Amino acid sequence: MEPDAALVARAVAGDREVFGALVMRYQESVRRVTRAVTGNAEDADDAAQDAFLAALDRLETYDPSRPFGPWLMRIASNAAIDLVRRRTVRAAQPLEPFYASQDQSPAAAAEAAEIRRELAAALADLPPRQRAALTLFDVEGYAHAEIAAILSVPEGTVRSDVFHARRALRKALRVYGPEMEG
Amino acid sequence: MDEHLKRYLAPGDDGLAFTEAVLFRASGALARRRQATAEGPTWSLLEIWARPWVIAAVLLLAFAVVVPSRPWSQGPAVTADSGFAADLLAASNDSEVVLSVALGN
Repeated sequence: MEPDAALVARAVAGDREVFGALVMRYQESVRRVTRAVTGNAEDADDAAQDAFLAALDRLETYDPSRPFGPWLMRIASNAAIDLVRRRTVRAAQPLEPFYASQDQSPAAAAEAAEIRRELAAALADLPPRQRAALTLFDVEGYAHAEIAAILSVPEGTVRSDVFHARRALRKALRVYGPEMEG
Repeated sequence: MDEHLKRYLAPGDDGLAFTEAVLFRASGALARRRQATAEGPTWSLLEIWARPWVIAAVLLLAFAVVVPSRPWSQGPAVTADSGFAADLLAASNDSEVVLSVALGN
């Protein structure tokens, strides 16, 4: 797989295929973060698209000696948080990914739907930055220091954000048993 | 919990439509980048207009600084050696200047 820095160098020259490869490589992570922040699939994809376009505008400012992911995540997080602040986004509602589309018994499907609703409600109660911090830490696997750089906040703030967000989600999912509190 | 959150936030598609949408919106910016790369650095209209003037101004400034300092550029010292100007310069007070002017000297 071609390194990110090499792809960026070619995308700077306007190579459509290469920029598309970069988008494909990162679209899932970026969209997960924007979905966590906005709580809505349509707004999330708007913010994610804006993030990729902003990244294209600023490609020259990317330092190839540093990892591309956090640089892009910073743009994506800001795009999603800005979107939430700029306008009243569509009401948070359970996202509909493949969560319920897998082969499940009716009982399991009903429980999955209930978990989605609980997750949506718990996330909706969190401030946008906490949602971003939680997703970057628990889903995307970034370290606290990296998230601090991505969100432009002190590392202690990130630790606090992740702690509070995890506690809120655990509380929401407690009824589904201890395995949900992982 | 992490796994549930990851599955909950997963877009649930292969990303192709999303990528196409991004590329569609980025087509103008990508075309400009390709054009800029193909043509190399270009002068903007302002730069094209201003460039000759900047060069001319620098040359004039250099000329104005260098020429007076050359020995051959120094002309004879200006002296008021005779006539009306000499009277004016030699006059010790205002009344003499007025008189000199009145007499047409």
